[in-house]
Amino acid sequence: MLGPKQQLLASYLTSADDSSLDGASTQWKTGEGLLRRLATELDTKSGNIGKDERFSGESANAASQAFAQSAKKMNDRADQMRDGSGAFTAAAHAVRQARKASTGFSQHSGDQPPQQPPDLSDVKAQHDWKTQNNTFWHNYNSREGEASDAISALQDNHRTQAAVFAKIHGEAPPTSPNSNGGGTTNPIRPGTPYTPTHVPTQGVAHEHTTSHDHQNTNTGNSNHDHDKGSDNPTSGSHNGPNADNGHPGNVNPGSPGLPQGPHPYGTTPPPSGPGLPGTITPPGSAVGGGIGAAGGVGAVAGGALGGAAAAGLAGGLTNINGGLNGVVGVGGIRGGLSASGVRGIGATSRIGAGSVLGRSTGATSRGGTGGMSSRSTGRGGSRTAGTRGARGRSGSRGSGAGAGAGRNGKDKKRAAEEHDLFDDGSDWIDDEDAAPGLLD
Amino acid sequence: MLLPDAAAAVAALPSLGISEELASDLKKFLTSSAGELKDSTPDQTGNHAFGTSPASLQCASDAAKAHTHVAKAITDMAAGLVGYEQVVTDLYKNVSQVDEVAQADLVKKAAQANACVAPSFAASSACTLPGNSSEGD
Repeated sequence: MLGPKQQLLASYLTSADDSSLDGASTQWKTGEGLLRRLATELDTKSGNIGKDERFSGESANAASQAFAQSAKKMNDRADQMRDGSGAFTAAAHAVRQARKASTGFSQHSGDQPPQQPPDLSDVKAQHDWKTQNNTFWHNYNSREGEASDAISALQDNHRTQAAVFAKIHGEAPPTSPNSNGGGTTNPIRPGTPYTPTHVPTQGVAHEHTTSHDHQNTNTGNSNHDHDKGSDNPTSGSHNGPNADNGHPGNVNPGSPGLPQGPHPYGTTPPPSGPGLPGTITPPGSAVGGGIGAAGGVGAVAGGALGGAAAAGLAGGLTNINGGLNGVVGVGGIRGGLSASGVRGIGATSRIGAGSVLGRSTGATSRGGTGGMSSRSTGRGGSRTAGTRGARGRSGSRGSGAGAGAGRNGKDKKRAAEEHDLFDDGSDWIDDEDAAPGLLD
Repeated sequence: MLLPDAAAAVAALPSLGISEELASDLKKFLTSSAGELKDSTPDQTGNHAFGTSPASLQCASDAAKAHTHVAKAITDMAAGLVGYEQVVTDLYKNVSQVDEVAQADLVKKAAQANACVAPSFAASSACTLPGNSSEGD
């Protein structure tokens, strides 16, 4: 199974022709040599003209100087052709190196993650599967990392050679309105205020991506790093509703990831979409979109169901969670349900349902964190329903806890970024003493 | 493709004291490299010979542009050689009879020939002699 980076590398090299580049290098080298020799001869003739009695006077001097100047310029041009020849050679070498790596990856194109034994009570079989599964994804991620490095090396090299050629031709680089310095365009920046417009149509799938077990988060992690060379403007389409455009779904329905949660990918990473060169959407970015999606789902759920329904939903999810935990035995679905349910309810209460149910709605949504119920109890009794209804912020807090439960250490950095993504500036809501006149 | 005048210039080089070996190399160079550079490019190495990564495509674009500039410069150099051939011919003529007008004309021709050897590949063509790279534009 080739990961997105491996596929991308292969696609970059499909038409690459290092022998052609070597041929060009030879041609430029030949030109350099001839120009150099011509320059030497012209310079020699320049001196001879001045020595020859037949050539004297102003005319001879003018001719001699012209020969000498031309010789100097030809030498300089020879230097440039030498540089160009070297650039072709270096570019060809980079292509060969990248192809060597890509060929190595292709030997694993048929590899598939091990199938989970159906007998969940067979501890040894499950353990062996787990070990094999982790090994598989470890190797997969290693190859993805190597592919990413190979792409970077290829592009770094070709940027260097492009600079050589650009110096030779001297033309100003074309300005592109979409150029943003080589990075991917991302309309959602950390700190962007959260709005329901980020609700994707398949947001739940993204949400569960963050709560997978080890092998699943590995898959996500391997794709988090954006190719720094992916300056194709179209690559910015990975946010929000477009996140799944290139993902036809789970390419391996039987993969062992499925039992762990209702996400569509299982342990199989999302396959890359069409148009790989420059347009592939890194699944890592889909994870980012997924977090936004989770919040969006919450908002929608809240708006649609109202506070009471949301509270009931939360309770229902809690029950489901407990029931499924006994079967699954892994944290995937627990985290997933916690994240989705709590987030949605929290957003609901924030939007307006709380005005009906008051603080208790928020308290329900906080249940996902496992530590907020006591707080809600205390506050619920003393607050009036109408005034405390706006306390929907607790739902957001619950979602954060749910997402965090599914992460491993590698996702901490990502989690921080996602936190920023969700940081909708609503601390003023969360801070109960910040504006007592408003909230109370 | 070698321009007739350029061929004549190459043929005349031995009489200017330039070795026949170099003249032969020049002829080969002008016939193969200069003509090839002029008539081919930027497709010579293939648009995607570098690969299709963003940086590779950019590199291919820059290489093609560089190749085009080199081809033009080589063409101009060939035209400059023709000009130099005429300069030397005039110098021979002026050996026995020096004429101010002819002398001024020779100085001008020498400058024109020298102008055909570009100060850099990036420079615009300043060659005005027959066969220069701008004639086909």
